[in-house]
Amino acid sequence: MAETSILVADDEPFIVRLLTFALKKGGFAVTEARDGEEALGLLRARRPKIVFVDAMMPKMNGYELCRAVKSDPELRGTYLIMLTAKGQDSDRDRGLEAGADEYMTKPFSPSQVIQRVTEILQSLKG
Amino acid sequence: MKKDAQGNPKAGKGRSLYLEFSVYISGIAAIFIMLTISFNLKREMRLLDENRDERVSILLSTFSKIAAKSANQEDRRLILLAAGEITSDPEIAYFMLHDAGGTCVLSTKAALQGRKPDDAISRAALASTAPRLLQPYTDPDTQAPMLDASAPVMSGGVRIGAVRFGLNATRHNARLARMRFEYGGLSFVSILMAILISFVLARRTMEPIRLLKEKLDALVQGESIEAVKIDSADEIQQLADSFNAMTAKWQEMYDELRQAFEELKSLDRMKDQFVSLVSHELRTPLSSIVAAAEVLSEHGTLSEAETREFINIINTEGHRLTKLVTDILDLARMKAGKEGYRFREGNINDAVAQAAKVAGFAAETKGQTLTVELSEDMPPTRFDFDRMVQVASNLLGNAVRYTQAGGKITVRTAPKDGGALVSVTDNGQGIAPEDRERVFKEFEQAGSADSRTGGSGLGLAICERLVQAHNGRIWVESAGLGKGSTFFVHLPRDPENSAGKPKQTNDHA
Repeated sequence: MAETSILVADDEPFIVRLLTFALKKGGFAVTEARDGEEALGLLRARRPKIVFVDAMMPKMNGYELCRAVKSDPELRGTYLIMLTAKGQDSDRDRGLEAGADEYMTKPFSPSQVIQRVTEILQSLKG
Repeated sequence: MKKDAQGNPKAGKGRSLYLEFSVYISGIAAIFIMLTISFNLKREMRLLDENRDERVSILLSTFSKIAAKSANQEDRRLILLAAGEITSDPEIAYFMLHDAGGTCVLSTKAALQGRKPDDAISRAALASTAPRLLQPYTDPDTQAPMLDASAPVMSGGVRIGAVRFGLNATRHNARLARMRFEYGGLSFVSILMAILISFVLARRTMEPIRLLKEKLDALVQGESIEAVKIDSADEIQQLADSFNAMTAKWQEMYDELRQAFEELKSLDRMKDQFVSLVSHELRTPLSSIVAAAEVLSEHGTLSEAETREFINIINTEGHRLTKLVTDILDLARMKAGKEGYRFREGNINDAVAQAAKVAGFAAETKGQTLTVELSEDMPPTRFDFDRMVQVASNLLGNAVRYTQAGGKITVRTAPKDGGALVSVTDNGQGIAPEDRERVFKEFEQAGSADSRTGGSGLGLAICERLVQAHNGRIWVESAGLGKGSTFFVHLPRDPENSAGKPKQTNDHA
């Protein structure tokens, strides 16, 4: 079955574990990355459709990762969801400026994440 | 005096004291000059006139006497001689001698010789029994201004004739005109000088005031203020001195306020930053808890291992939250002041030993070696025992956390400058030189700000505050990343007595 591939990039292991668990239950194929560089490598290797990007990661932070993805012609179509604990408007703007398609604030609800991912995939198809 | 480019003081709205001052002084000087000069001119002219009148009067009386004498002796030689003498004077236009009937018996005007002149002046002259001085008329031929003088010639109380001569007034009038012109010129020049002098005087008087105003304007516009330099040793200088004293005082107050303002602003910024950081730090464990709880409640098909795992996540992150909140409260309380410290005399070794006992277990589980080297020569120092245990625990906890499994950690004590020196050395990941100050900041952890190694990020900030409350100093030395690091704490003998306070030198750098 052609499962939709989703990448979760976060340095908080519990967050990665919980997101991955919820997404897998939702029927998606999930790949995990613990830092920005690993995430970029996996992006190139696996071409996920949707990436959850934590703003603060070692080696390459979320903003840098977004910029790298959006400046790469082959990866430009990837849907980027910035996921961070920062809740201020300036942070949101910074994320969207860096190229994120969407911004989610922690704490998040796994069921809402699944619902949102489903919506995004439908709109991507259409 | 320095001349400014603008010249006049700024003509603000309405009056200019400088101009008024100049105009008043000029006006008064001009009036005074005019009065003096016109008085002098009038006197000079009067003197000149009187002088001439006197001369004419003498001449008339002399001639009338000579004429009388000549008539008595029937000898006209004397009067002819006198007539010749007088008419050699260029101012004397004519000379006439009339007989009792008015006929001209002698005249320098040939036309009148032997005739009786019939003009108004002549009639009046011939009718008068008293000398008539200077009757003005205009010569019908030459249009020259003339003056006629006449006197009766008396002999034995009887009027036997009259002498007359005419004065050409042109020269006299010219002299008067020149005098008027000279005095006029003099007053013109004097008034000009007076105006000039009054403007210069007004400028000299107003210049310091203008300078003061300039400085005040600069002050109002917030430019920096330098003292006004005036060396006139008068009221203006006193004013300038007062002004300087005022601006100096003002500047001092301004600087103080500015500094206080900057401090408050920076505190406010720090507070904002702190709140933002706290919010971020709290959200991270919170999101794990919320997500784990939701997964647990919504997914009925969890395996037992999964259920345990998610409960464990809630447990761990719950503890992390608790620690964070405790640390944040601790830090906030310490920001408020030094209250609540209980300084007692003791040996720092006791506090370090207690912290090392707890840290020993943590090191053991990571396979690390913790060596404790306590000096036996420690001087008794005054410190808050519980707080110093907290500091030592934090430093040791960090060493365990940032050192790889199997690493080596050493905690030492030594006497230094009459106080106590505690050091915690590890061979862990070390600290880059640029991070040595930063690690003591709230929520800063060495390396990338985005890499999390566990811990609240508040431990060293708390340690720094605790040590500072003891009047001590905390710092870190590291050969660089990957080369381990040593944290030092230097406590004075007595935190409430500045003697023996650790010097704020950078000898460790």
